[in-house]
Amino acid sequence: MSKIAFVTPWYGAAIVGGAEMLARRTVEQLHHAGVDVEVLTTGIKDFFADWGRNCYQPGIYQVNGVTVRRFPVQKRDQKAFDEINWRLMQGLPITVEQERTFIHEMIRVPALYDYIAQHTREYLFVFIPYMFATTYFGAQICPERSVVIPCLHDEGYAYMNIFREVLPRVRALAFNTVSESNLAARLLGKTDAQIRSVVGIGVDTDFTFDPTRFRQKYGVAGTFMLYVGRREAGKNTPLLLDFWGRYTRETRTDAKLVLIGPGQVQIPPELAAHVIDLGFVPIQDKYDAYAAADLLCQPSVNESFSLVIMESWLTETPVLVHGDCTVTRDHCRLSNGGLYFTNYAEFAATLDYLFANPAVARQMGQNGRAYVLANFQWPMVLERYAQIISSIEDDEDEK
Amino acid sequence: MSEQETSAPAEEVNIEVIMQEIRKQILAKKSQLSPGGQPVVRVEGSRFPPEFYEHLYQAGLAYDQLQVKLHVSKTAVPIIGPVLQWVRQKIHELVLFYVNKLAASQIKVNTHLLRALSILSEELEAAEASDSTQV
Repeated sequence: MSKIAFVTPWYGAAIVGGAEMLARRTVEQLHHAGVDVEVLTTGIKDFFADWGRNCYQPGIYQVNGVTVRRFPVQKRDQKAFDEINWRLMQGLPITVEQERTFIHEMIRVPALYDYIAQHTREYLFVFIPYMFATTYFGAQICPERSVVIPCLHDEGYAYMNIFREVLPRVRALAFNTVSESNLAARLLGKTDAQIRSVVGIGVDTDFTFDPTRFRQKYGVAGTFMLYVGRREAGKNTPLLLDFWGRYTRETRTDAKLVLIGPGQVQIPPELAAHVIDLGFVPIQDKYDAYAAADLLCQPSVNESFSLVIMESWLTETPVLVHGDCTVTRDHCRLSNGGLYFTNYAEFAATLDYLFANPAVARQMGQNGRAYVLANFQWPMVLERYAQIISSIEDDEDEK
Repeated sequence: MSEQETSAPAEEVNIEVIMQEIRKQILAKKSQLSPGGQPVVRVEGSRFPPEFYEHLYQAGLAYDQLQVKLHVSKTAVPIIGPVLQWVRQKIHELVLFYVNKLAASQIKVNTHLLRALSILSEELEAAEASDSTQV
C-alpha cells in the first residue's frame, strides 16, 4: 500500500473541532492501524491565526507519533481576501476574477506544492477540506492519486466555479454522510468515472461517563440543556441564546442552558440566571456533561457531521438540532434519536415535549447510541478508507 | 455504507410522528389567532416522504405573511424636510394600499391551494389505509 499523505491548511495536537480535528483523528487512527501515513501542512497555527504568518518553523515534526512536514506560508493580500470572503459569507455574488483573487490570497504556500509535485509516486494524497487553497492547488498537481474529503456544506463557497472545476477531477471523494454525498451529486453532477464513497467519521465509542460527577463538580442541579462547541455566529450560538431567552421568559422554567467550548459569548444580564457558561473543560468533564444533560442542542446549520451529536448519543442523551441543517436532521431521522426546529415556535414546542416526556427522550438517546455503534465505529471507517485506497491502486495496476 | 447509513431499530419512537404532532399544534395555535379559526393545512401522514409534510407545514406558516408594513426613511433636508417627509409618507401609503390589496388576493389563492393540497393528501392517505386493510 502507498504511503498516505494528508494535506491540511494547519495541523496540531491542540486543534479542536471541524475538519482539522477530523483530519488529525483519522490520521492517528490510520497510524495506530499500521498504515504508513504522514501529514503535509503549513506553518499556520490554526484557523484563528494569521494565515500569512508562520507560527511553526518549516521542517519535520512528530505529533502524537505521526510525521508532520510543515511548509512556510508567504505574505498575502489579506484585505483583498477579506473583502471577497465577506461577500461570500453574505451570500452575495462574486466574479470569476474575484474567485481567483479569493483562492490566491487565502494561503500562499508554494513550497508545499513543490513537495507534492516532486513526490507524486511516493504518496497517495488525501486533501481536507475542499474550500482551502491547499486543497485547490494541491489536488490539481496529481489528481489521479488524490482523494478529497470535502466536508461539503450547502454554502456560498460550495457554489464557486473554482471548486466545482477541481473536485470532479480528483480520483476519489470521501464523504462524511449520505446527505453530503447527495449535495455533491447536486453540485458536481453524477459520474461513474470518480470513486465517491460515504466513509463517515470515526467516533471513539469506549469512553466512560458519570453524570453525578459532573453535577457535583460544577454545582449544576435540575433540568438542563447542553451546548458543546465553538461559541460563534457561524455555529448559531446567538440564535440559541435568543431562543433560550424567549423560552425562559415565556415559560418561567428553572431549566438551565449549559455552554461548553471555546470562543467568546455575550450573555445578556437578564439571561445570566438561566445560562451556565463553563468555557473550556477537560474532556472527561465533557463526556460527563453529555450524560448529565437532559438533551444536547446543536443549533448550527453548517455541520458536515457533528461529532458532538454522536458523543451525546453514546451517553444516551437525545439531541435537538436545527432543521435547516440537512446533515444533522438526517441523523435524527435515521436514528430516531432527536427532534429538530426551524423557528422559535418549534424550538419551544420541542423543548416542552422533551422535558415533559423523559421516557421518550431516554428512548431517543438509546436509539441514537445504537445508530452510532452501527455506523461510526473506527474499524468500520478505516475499512472504508482501505477500500478506496485499494480501488485506486487496483486501477493503477490495471493501467 | 456506500449508499445509506444503517437506521437504528426504533419501533417505539418515531420522531417524524412526534414532529408532525408538534407542528399540528403550532398550526392550530396560529389558526386560533386567525379569523377563520381553521388550520389551512394538514401536516400528518406517512404516505409521502417527510419533506412533503415539511413543505406543507412551512407553507402553512408563511401563506398569509404577505402584508407589507409602512417604512419611510427619515429625510435630513433642512427647512422643507417635514413637508417632504409628509409627501413621501402619503405616496408610500398609496402604494401600500394597492400592494396590500394584491397581497390579500394572493393570500386567498394560497389558502385555496393549500387546502386543496391537504385534501388531496388526506384522500391519498385514506386510500392507502383502505388498500392495506383489504390486503
